[in-house]
Amino acid sequence: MSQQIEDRLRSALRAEAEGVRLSTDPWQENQRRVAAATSRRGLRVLGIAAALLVVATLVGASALLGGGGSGMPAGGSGDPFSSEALLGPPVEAETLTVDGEQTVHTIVLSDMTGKGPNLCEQYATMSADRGSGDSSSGSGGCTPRDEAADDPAVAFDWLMGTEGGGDIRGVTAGVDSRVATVRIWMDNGDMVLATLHPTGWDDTRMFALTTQPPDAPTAQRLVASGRDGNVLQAVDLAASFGDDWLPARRFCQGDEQGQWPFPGSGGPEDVAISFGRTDALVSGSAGITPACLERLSSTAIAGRTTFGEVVIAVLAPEVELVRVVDRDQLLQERVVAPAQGSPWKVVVVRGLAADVQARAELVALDAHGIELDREFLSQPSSP
Amino acid sequence: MVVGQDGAVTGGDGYGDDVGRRSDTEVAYEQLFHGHFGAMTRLAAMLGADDPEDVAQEAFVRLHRRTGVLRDPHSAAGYLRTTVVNLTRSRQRHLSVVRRHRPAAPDDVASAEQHAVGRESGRELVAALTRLSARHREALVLRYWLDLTEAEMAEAMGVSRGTVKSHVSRGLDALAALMEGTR
Repeated sequence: MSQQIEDRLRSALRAEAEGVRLSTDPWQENQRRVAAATSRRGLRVLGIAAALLVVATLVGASALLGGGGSGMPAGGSGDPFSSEALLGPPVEAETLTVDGEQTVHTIVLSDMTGKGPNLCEQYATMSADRGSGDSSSGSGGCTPRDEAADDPAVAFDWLMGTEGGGDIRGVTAGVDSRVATVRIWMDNGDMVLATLHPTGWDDTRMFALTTQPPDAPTAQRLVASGRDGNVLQAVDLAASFGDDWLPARRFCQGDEQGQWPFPGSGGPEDVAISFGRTDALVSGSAGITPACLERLSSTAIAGRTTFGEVVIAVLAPEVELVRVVDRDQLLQERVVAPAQGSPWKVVVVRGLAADVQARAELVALDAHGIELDREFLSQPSSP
Repeated sequence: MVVGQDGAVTGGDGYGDDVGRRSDTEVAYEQLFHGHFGAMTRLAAMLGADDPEDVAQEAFVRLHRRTGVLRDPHSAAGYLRTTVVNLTRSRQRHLSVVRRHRPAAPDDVASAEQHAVGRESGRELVAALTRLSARHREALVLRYWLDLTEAEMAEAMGVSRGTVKSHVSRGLDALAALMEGTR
């Protein structure tokens, strides 16, 4: 039956696709749209330039800035910090010391183009003679509201990262009105609860966190939760911002980051996992041959391996519970356990015979039993 | 470097192109457009977009910002598929709200001959497809129309490969049940 319906579906879809009609000159329409989008993007390009200046400032090349600037270049576009553009009060979210100089990180929601709210930030480094009230340099950038922000699956309506010459990592984000808490999971396993500031627009709120690796950990994953504690959206920052944000460090190649189980936690003695930032080495006794999970994915079930009747899964920090199900039948339920020195969590499920593994699924849930991810055990571990 | 959530900003990549001279990325973009626009429009249509050509156009406009992606035709095709899937899903949510307020159309009255010949026709199967959840429909269209691998489907749908497998399996079951129900 299955093969039959697959064949019929293939053939029906091909026939249906052939019936789709196209307009006579879509390229011309495309070029019109591209031109319109490019003009809209002008201000954002300035945001990039500004952020690059932030890099210059924070690595101590403030002379490049010419000094005395207010931070945001105008360049013919609106100033997001001008009173006409502000949608709410600017918030001094952080004060940092960079190269011995005090730097204030200000964030604001602003509509300087009349086309929607942008989340904007400004890093302002104060000169030594701060008493004069003259900031020596500063800069920043803006990001528009995510075009999918109205999608219920999206809670982070704005998300922006600033990287400063390898010395700073700043994440600035805005969340919608459903969000009660944002947990920022750092790459060393620490969790920081974001301080959410009202933006002044549509009950959204914003936050910022800047760190200076390698002396401080880097933000790895953001998890937004609703008032009931249910996970609304998780964002893997390495996946969003690229490998420069969080350079891959692989235990399987010698870069140790964390381990599981916690020493002295009473966890299983026959399984051990050593974590890099992006991989994990599973080892143990009793027939467990060391196996490297080479690329932990950004999904809630980040990696998985199987030894006989034992399934070992690495999970995102927002996962609290794992179920093994066969269709609608619950076979096993396990609470997951955190690792040390890493944001990942782990679950070990035992007693899964080969015939069960052939048809069962692993389901990851949050603390409220809401499904975050699922995989067939018969499938290779993702990605 | 500032990077935005939509990935539109990737460290100023490509913004320094000379005005008045077509860059390699512009040439690549045009080639991609002519090579993939039809397929992306059809994909949006198969996923149930109310204006598939508009969805495909929007996907290409977004691709135009991604000069880094444009340099790799394989990545560009994957990016386009993902964008079309996401845009269609997003628009369907709005569409479903509108439909909720619209009175249901009367069932088509088919002739006895049509029943005899077309009960399990392709059109009936495609009609059943529209009654599946968006995820199941995406999985089946990507698998059985575009013949994507599980890894490519996972990228397009933004889920893990295991989840893809699950959606395909459940989608086929649901489709079979719907077809069974029409007998």
